Amino acid sequence: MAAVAPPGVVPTPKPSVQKPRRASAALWAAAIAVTLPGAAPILHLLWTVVKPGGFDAGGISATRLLQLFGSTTLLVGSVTATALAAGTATAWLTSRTDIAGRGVWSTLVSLPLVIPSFVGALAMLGSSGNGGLMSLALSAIGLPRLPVFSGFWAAWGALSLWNFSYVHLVTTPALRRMDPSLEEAARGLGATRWRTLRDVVLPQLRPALLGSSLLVALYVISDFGAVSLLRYETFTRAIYTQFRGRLDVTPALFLSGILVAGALVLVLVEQRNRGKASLAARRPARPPERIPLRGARRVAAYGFLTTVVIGGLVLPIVTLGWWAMRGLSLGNVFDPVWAEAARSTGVALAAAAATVAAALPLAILTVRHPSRPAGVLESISWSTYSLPHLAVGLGFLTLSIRFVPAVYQTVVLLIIAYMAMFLPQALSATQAGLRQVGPHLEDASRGLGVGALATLRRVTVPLVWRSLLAGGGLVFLTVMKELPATLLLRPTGFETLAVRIWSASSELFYTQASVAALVLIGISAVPLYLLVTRDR
Amino acid sequence: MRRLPALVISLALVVAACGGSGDDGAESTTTTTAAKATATTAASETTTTAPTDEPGEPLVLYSGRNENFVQPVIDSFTAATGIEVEVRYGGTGDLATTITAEGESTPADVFWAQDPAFIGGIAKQGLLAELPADVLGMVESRYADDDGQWVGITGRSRVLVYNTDLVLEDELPDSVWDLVEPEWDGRFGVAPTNGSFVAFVSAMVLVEGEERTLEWLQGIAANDPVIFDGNGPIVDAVVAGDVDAGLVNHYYLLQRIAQLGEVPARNHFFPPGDPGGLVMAAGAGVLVGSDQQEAAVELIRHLLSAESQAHFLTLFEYPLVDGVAAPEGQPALAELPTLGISLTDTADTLEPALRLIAEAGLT
Amino acid sequence: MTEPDPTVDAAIRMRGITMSYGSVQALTGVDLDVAGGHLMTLLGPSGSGKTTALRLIAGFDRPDAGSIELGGETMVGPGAFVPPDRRRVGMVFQDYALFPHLTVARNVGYGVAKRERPQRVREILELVGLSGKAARLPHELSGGEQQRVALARALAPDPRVILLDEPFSNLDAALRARVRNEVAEILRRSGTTAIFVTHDQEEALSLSDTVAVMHDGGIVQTGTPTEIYHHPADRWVAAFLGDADFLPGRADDGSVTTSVGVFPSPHRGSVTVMIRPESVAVRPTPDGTAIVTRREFFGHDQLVTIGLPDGSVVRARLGPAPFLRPGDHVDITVDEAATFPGVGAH
Repeated sequence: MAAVAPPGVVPTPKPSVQKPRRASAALWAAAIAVTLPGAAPILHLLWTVVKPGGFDAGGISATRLLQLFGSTTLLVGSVTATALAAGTATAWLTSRTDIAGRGVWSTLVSLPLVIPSFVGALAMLGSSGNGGLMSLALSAIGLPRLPVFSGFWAAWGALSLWNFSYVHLVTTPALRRMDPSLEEAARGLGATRWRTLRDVVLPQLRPALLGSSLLVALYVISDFGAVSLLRYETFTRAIYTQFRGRLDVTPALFLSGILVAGALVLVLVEQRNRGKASLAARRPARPPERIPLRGARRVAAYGFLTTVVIGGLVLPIVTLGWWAMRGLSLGNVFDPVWAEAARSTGVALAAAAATVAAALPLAILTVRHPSRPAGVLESISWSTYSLPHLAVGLGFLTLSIRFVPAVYQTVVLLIIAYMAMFLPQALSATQAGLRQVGPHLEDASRGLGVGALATLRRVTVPLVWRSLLAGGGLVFLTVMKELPATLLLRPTGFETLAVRIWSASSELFYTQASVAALVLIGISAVPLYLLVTRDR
Repeated sequence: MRRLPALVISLALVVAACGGSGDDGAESTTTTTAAKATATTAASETTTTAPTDEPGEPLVLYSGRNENFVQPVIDSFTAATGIEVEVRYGGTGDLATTITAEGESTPADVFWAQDPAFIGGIAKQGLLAELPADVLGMVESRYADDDGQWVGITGRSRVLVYNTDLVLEDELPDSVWDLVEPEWDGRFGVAPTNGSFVAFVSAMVLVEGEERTLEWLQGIAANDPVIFDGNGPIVDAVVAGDVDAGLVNHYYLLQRIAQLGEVPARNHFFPPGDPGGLVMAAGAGVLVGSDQQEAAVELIRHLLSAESQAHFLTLFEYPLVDGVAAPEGQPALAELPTLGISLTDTADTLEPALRLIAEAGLT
Repeated sequence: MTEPDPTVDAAIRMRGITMSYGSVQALTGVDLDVAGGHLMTLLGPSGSGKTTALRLIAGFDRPDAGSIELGGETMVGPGAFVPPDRRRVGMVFQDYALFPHLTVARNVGYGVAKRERPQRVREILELVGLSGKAARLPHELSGGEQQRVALARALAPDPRVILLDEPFSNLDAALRARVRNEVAEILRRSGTTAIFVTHDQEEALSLSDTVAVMHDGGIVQTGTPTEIYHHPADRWVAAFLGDADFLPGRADDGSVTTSVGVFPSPHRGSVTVMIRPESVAVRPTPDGTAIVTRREFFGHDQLVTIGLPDGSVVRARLGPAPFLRPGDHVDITVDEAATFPGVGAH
């Protein structure tokens, strides 16, 4: 995630070997405490599945399951590859070439993150098909109407468009901070630009690329809204339909367990391959050279960026706006969504703050005092991140109703659930920040007689607050868009913007849905814009 | 700048806390509890029976019907009785599963479902209380639970909605079984995850048995259907001409026409005796765990009042209370075939129906 | 605050310190004593364990075995471990580790109790000569100034001991000597016990009261700079501390005879004779038996490589005169030499 090196920090030349210090009992206690909410839904799932009769796929045959697994893998693989390619390309174009308006392009290309994928899918449907906006536009100039966007290609397009920005946001700072002398050395030895890119630049980008592609892959695995609207059958969709039909949630949880196991494989693969290359901490002595693009290449660059921005940002917003206007012109009424907006914003802010605070002890533990048990705690939080939100919601529902009924259907439980689900987002941002600052400043503080907690307050936090903010911003965006767990756990009457969009669109009140969607996009754009421009 | 984060966070907590209690008087149009103002003025005029249980506690309704449909009726209830209602909106299936997970500790007082199978499932778990005879007596017995644990509020018929430009009159199927034939290959849409479809399949199992039902489902699956997530999108697609026809509930098209004006689409009702013509009741029941049983029953009475039933008519559903008319242009309720099954029994065939749908590969 | 008693409070005592990282043995059975008020240097190449030793004294790492006492109090021992913030040990890091978000004054006052802060910060800034820069941020200062801030910060809380980890390596060569002397001066004035860590022998020899030479995780010799330079414990130390040439010889009856002269030796049998270039005098003469093979000119002095008739090679460090060229015949005399038992590399 975009994390910034604090000014004036000269990073320590690392000693050749460094044994991590043992962490205090208090730090362990804090780290375990914040991992507990994440563990709760996992434990609930395991407990349900481990009972006799727990291995229940709800009547779905093994062949069908394999088929669904296959279709999911196909989607995940293709979207991740596309997002990697597109995100790296936009990052490279906006930070390494001499095209005009780089800063503006970079911001525009990051903005699609504000659009929830189910809203994007909705807009996609609304612009295609016989009645869609694009079809009408095309038929107005005499071209044939578009078929409805649906199936694999639509799902691939939608999920790629509204996720590639993750890759862009993580890769851009990594590109900026690379030491140009390595590339210059390669060029001096006769390597072409392409070969330099392949042999020198990409390997240095590895942690950034792997980390962001994991985020994308996990998101695609767990997505339900977009694939169901676009009618592409995935494993996750099967999980949701199992929940919708049955009164017994065992099949939904069993299938969720399979999904998490698959997701964990991805997490492990990423962790293994992250490599020893730490994210470049030092601002290079001189900025990397700007590669000039001329002629056809320049045109192609602008064309590519424009296509991406139109597809990911302009088209959905215009479609939603058109729907809203069309509905208004037909006299459809809609309720102002101020209350929903306030609720969404409030709970997202609170969840972001709670999650960032919770991530701090775990980040410190895993970065300053790495150990196997610390890695296990981190894996737990990633497991919950990979769990379909429905399963998380069910876990908290069951556990709270059984053990802490006072907290059931309250905002507090909702925030705890969000924290459990999205901890890894805050965690990886905070980890990146801690890695950049390095332990020597904290050592200096300790050596001057200042205790651990005071050092945290006086030295660590002031230096990594930008990373904390980045993590918090990401959590805010994700909570704004969240739907399945919110539906299950929200207090009765606590409708958020996402809930409003869902209920309105499922009953075909598209005017209402569009208005709410536009408000959601508007609110989400603010922190995203701040995050993106702050990094300059 | 330093203090900004702290300020923002405190603001957030305040906002979230206010939103959470759900009892703001200010936003009268969007909250689901009726404005206190209306309630207090109405209370002084009301003459309907005031409940004798816990005063001041709002009634909690879990509704599988959407807000536009429900809110006006709720508002009039609160205006008439002074009882506030908090409504939890969601899919009927989701809510049913939620109630099951909550068990007897459920905060819900009333459950208003879209389809009989799901509410029947709740009844089977013993979570619904028996309704008083006068309430049950307001509708025909076949639109209520055999054991009196839920009562139908409105009726809906399964239909085949079709695009008049793409489907000729003589092509219209006489039976759902026609849809597995080659001439319908790829021309129709279904929403196999939708509650009404599941209820319809449950009914089919009662009528035709599991084996035949599976045959039909597999036939449908093999006939290249367009799979949708809900009835609404099917109707939209049919209206736009993206798909020729679809299996939905009757009122969707009518609502669409009201929204958009005239469209090239019509409802086709299946002939008598065919499972495709299933008429279902959307029912409501009182939860056994509720500590406001009387108020809950009052709410259900209100849903069956002439005023409410007339409101449902404007949304094109069939009122079930005797003596109220049918939606414009649609066959009267009495004319619609009955299939000879008890809707209560669909609760028993719900599980098998779900398994069959999964087995056919539709989920 | 009472003045620490230099003879007791500030003394450092390490016994039997052993430390390993995974398969790497960083320190093996190290013993070290530092007297109060002294400047001791740990000198050694990278990987010798000197930075590890420093971090152990500071408390940032915990040894596998051994004990550490500061001023008579046990900091590390069986069952005992005092965390770094309670040891009153000041540390100056190689990259200074100044808090980038705090001014010079706040950096310096960081470890001082609030009440005494303003007074103490003023004192210390004056001591290091940075009184005018109190409100600056670290990145606004030059390298030398940052160095002094780091030192001031470490001194301000009045530590028992101050540790300096290669503190001058980030400075330009020109600045280095001057800053070095200033720092040594400051430390002497404050009377604090100090341990330097460096790989630069010039630094170690010029600054310290005592030098401990480290090699491969152990201390191979401790002594004053003069002692270890002129009487290194073994061939490795000799070579590490400065230029040296080695000749084989046979010691007998308190002396050893070589092709360049006779020298006293306490050993018997085969010995290696160490000759420092500065002990070699050269006289150009046409019938000299030795021949100049190479000459390196440094402006203020020159290093001349000379081949002896028996094949051995000796270097001489001379002033700018005489002007010698490869091929010139010379006679050489060696003033003094040290001897080690045994032949061949140690």
